[in-house]
Amino acid sequence: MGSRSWLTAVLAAGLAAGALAGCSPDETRVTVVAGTTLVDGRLLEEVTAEYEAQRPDVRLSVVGAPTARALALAEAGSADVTITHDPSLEERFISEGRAELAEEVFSSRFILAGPRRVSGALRGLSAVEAFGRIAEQGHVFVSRADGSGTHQVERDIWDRAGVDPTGMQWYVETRQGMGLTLQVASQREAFVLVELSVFLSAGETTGLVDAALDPAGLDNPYRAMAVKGSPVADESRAFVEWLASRSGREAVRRANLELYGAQIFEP
Amino acid sequence: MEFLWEVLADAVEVLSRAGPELWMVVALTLAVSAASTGIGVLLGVPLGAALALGRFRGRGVLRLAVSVGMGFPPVLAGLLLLLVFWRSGPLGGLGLIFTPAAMVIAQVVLATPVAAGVVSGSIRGLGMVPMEQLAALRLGRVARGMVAVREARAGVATAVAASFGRVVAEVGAVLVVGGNIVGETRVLTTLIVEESRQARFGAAVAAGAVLLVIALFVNVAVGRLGGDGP
Repeated sequence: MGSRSWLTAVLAAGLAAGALAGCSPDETRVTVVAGTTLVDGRLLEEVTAEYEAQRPDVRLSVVGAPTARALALAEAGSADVTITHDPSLEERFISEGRAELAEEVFSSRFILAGPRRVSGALRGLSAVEAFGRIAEQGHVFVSRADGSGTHQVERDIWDRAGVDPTGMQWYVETRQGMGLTLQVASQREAFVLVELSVFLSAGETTGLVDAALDPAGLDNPYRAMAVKGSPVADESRAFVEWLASRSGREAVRRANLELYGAQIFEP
Repeated sequence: MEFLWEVLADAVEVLSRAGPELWMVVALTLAVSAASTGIGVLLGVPLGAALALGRFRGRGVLRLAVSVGMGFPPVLAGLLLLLVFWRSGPLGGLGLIFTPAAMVIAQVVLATPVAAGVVSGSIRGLGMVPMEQLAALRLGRVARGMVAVREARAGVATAVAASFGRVVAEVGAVLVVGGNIVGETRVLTTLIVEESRQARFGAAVAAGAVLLVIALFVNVAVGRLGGDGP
């Protein structure tokens, strides 16, 4: 290639990169930081696409982060909207006056997944009883251990079961997202507390089954918040209002049907 | 600028109170990289010598394989091995997935072609005269290969450094087959990925500094052994 054609190639690459970035000047970009579980489960992708179709002037950039991190990012001014699932952290965020608007938008639930041959024995038990049983038998349990809403729920259950699993031989901490944690549990034939939609999207490949515990205390409510002080406050607020509105809830129902064939994230 | 200074100050602080958790990551990084470099060089040097000196069927294919291997995308190597070692995959019964052993295997796949390519190149780089002398020695194939490798020892040192450099800096393959599990399969590169994803930039930079020191140290040490630097 001569120097001319190199130049052309570089220019073409530059143009392609510009097209990919798709920066149209009249679009407002709203950064939505959402729980990794929600991002791994793909529901949010569908819902935000529908909102963008209705509001061509707004682009929603979705970033996945564990709940604690998402709220810290919001505090630091790096998020316009958060969608998280740790009620106590969210209430603190609201009481500190950091939320412009907060709405509970939908709710899914957690299940305990585990290897088929030992999960049957836990059927119908409460989460606390099941966790106690797992600790007693020293069965391998894989934990997110990453400050996520999921991890918080798991820790509360251990507390109530009177077990401190940290450092135990049978307790594996990935400190990573739901998807990878589920993979590790699958390959180690271990128990894992997993959000239902992530478990359903992974499907058969995990080889794990739902231990079918008593669902009490395993619900997983999500709250969307428009962050105070955001430079795109109007658009952020409008998106959160839409999520909580009738048409937003309809969009969530449709996305559920399309992805899972059932209402996993109940609006 | 202020942001960058803050990150740097954070990094210094993370390093100053670095505990066993970081040292475990460093130890695993060194162990996995050293093991895979060692195995990769043991396999790659004879392969490289054979490619440079031998006349045998399939040499062209092997050469092509080494060329492809030298530029093989690590994350793709990781994916292929993940499928092979997945519990319900062909070698799932070995129980290697998400273990350091799987990481070593992935990195051997990456290191071997690099070692072979570098050694083959440096033997051929010896030029015509040593080659003719070598032929005149009337040695067996293996002995001839050993003499050639000894002549090209600077190339072998480069092969060690290049292999180690490739595997210690690599993140895609070890992330996919290792899983980046705390205390089990977390190495410096996957730690950096995780810390930057979580926006803990100070910790990420601290791990990066340690990685850089290791890479530099090994390169300089191997350069000394081989008798010349860049």
